[in-house]
Amino acid sequence: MSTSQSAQLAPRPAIAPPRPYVFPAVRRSEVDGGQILAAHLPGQPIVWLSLLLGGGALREPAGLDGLARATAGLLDEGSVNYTADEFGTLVESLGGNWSVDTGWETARLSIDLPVAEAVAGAGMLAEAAHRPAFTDHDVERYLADLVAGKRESFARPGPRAQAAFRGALFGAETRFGRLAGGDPDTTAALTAEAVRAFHADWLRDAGTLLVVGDLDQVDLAELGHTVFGEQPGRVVSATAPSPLGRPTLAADPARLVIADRPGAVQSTLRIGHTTPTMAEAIEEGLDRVALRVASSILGGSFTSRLNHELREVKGYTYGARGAFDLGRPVGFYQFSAEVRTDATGDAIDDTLRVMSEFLDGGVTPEELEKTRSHLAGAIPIELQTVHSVGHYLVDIVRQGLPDDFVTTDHAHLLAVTLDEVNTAIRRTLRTEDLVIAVEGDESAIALDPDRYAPKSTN
Amino acid sequence: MPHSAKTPGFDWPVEQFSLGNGLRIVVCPDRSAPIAAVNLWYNVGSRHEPAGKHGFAHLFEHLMFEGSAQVGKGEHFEVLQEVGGSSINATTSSDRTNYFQTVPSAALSTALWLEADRMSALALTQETLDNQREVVKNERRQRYDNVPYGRWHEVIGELAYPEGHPYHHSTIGSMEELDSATLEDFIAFYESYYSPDNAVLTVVGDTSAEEVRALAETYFGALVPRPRPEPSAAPELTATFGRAQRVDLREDVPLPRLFFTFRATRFAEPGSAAEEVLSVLLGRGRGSRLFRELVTERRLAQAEGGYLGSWQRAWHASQMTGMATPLAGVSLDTVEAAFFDICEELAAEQVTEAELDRAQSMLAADWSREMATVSARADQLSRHATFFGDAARLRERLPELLAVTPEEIQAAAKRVFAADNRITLAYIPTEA
Repeated sequence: MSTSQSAQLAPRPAIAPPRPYVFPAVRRSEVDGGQILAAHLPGQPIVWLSLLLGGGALREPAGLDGLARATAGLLDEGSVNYTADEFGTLVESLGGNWSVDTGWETARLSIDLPVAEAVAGAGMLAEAAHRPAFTDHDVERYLADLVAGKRESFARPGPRAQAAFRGALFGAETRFGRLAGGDPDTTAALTAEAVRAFHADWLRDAGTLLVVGDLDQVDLAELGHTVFGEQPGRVVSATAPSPLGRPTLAADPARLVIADRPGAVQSTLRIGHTTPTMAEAIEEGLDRVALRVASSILGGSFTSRLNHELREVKGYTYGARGAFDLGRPVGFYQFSAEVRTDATGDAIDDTLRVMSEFLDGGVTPEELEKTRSHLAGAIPIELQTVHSVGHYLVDIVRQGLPDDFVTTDHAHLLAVTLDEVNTAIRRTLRTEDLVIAVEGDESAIALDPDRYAPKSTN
Repeated sequence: MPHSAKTPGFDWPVEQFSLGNGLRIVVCPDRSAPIAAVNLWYNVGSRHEPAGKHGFAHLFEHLMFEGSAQVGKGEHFEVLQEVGGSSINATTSSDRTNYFQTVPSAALSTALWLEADRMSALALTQETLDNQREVVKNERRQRYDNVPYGRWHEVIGELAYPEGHPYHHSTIGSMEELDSATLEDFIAFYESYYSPDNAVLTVVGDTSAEEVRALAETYFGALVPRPRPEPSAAPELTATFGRAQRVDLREDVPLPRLFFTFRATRFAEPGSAAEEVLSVLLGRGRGSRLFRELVTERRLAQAEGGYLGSWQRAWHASQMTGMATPLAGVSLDTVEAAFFDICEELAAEQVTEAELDRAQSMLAADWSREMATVSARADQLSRHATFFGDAARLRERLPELLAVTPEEIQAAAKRVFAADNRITLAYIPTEA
């Protein structure tokens, strides 16, 4: 049934092609031994400052999962010059937002605030990175809250599915086979002494300062000097950190793992496998732009094949997504969705079927053209804010990408061919290696593990 | 020209006009990037739902993406993506329903054509209703039913507004009500509320008022306004709840937790700006008074799960809500009493300049962050046009927050934190 007004509807318009896009030029400099990467966004009232340091989860001693994140999180909980409350109040009185991000290899402190306060913001980054107090009182309080926070987060759907997924791929006995942020038990084992030692061992490299904002209104040398210059309490590690190896896959990964969550009305799915890192992709000649196009069509956008099938056609879920993360030290393909408990097995079967059909039949020319336009158009829309531009600077440093990679990737996107897209996805997505992790009500979902066993098993 | 954080406000030009059919149009040119945000507010929300049909405004919002006279089922997103569109979505609240997308400015006409097509001739079929009903039920499972404390918002709304009040029910609706929805319900809903004279169309970005006026005439000009039903009279609300109430819920949650609500001033009514600043001062951020007192100084509550926020509801008295999570070994009663004590301190004594400065600096910087995208700017302009008939009222919003004085904060605290104006919802883990 169509409901309509008695109006003459105008036909769909033809449109002109969009204007080309160029990522802001990255300005590099070195001040007092520290590296600075900056991008100019004229007219922005907010400036974003981020200090990238070593000291990720792979540097943690055994049994102390979550120490890297806890240490980075404690850097602003009291310093030599400010109590914990004073520090937080001062940041907010500057109009600042403080955030901490830790990964497997790095830790990052960020503040964004009105551009007129940029030097004060850089001062807060330096205070946190170089002069944390780590008093017993503050550390004990912070860690107790962290344990409770972990308990709550593990009671929500997601972390246990993710832990099961990593454990199946790498073995839960390896650090990389568990979650970077730790779990309630490992977090409970953290101590003030361990925090101080981790800071001394891993967070004293010079680091890299990332700046995004109206650079006409900031003095990069002054910001650099504020963060990297000689100052009380600052000790820079003299030796370069030892290189980290690539985590190895479990010898015979389980294909299906279940984290039981009795009574759950939905099952949380994580389905995926490892992939090359960005650096390996470049070395192996894997076309990351073509791969991104394919990934968007398969599971990246609202109109993707996976979301369409699982949400719109089957009604199993509110949303389904899959994407490649060519991150370090290992890349991943991962699909995720929350599906109705009684549809868990069907949702897994349909996911695997849609992926297989995608690899067999490939991308269609219509899908390529639509996705090319969508992704090309999305770049200037995404990059309106200092934060979004900043995240690309983080990629440049963490992945060793060229300063103009956003611009050159954009140009390649406009020219990428169907063959390139199909070749990239067929090289990288391997349905036979997919690991399926389910967090849900095990008694209700009744999955048969044999059904998902590797087809090549003798 | 972007505004500076030092002279807070909204320095972009704002032009407003209406078409002959009553569609109000707001244009805010900004040539700094080759993109344009298209935002539509329909003045309809869950407050318009009759008894037994809760969740229908939101379910209807889903149906708006399922095709219209010239757009096939599921093609809405496809068409926008083909022209390079992003940030495509819609949301439903008690007050209103908004639809939005950002497109390359070269494709502005496509976005307007799509919006006009679905405003004019939506395709409503049993198949899409059945499918989107399942999607919404999955949304309910994901956001409310499958997460600890997931229903707090729904429960506290039912306690804060009497049965029959337009704000009594949540926007998501119950599974039973969603199951009972028929196609006729949605045809009637569409005919009643999705009329050009019940909408505001805002375009922000690389365009001009002349261009938008011409495009709007082309795509929306022929649409015919339709009559709307008289809104049913809402039960009168008193200035406070009239009593203090506490409700305990035993559920499978990981930690005991308290949720609070207070009746508060309607958005933009005198006193509401002071209440917003008050909520930030007390309950937002690491330096807020509730965090410092409950978490660091008195060690009663946990860092996670504590806040106070103001809802800014526009059509009836609003709410302030808060949350606190006791530290292990501290009772819910102790934390509840301490939470109220701290709130009452603000009624008893004026805040310091430093505390007020922290809250207002945060609000000013937040404003700059929010206004950085054309999409958020468009949404705020639509909001002000819908609520006040004048999108340019947005210019007064930040100055109003920055002009709030310690005296006004104290008056707001006396009003909101009155002893007979508080509801506590306590979650107690079933294993405890």
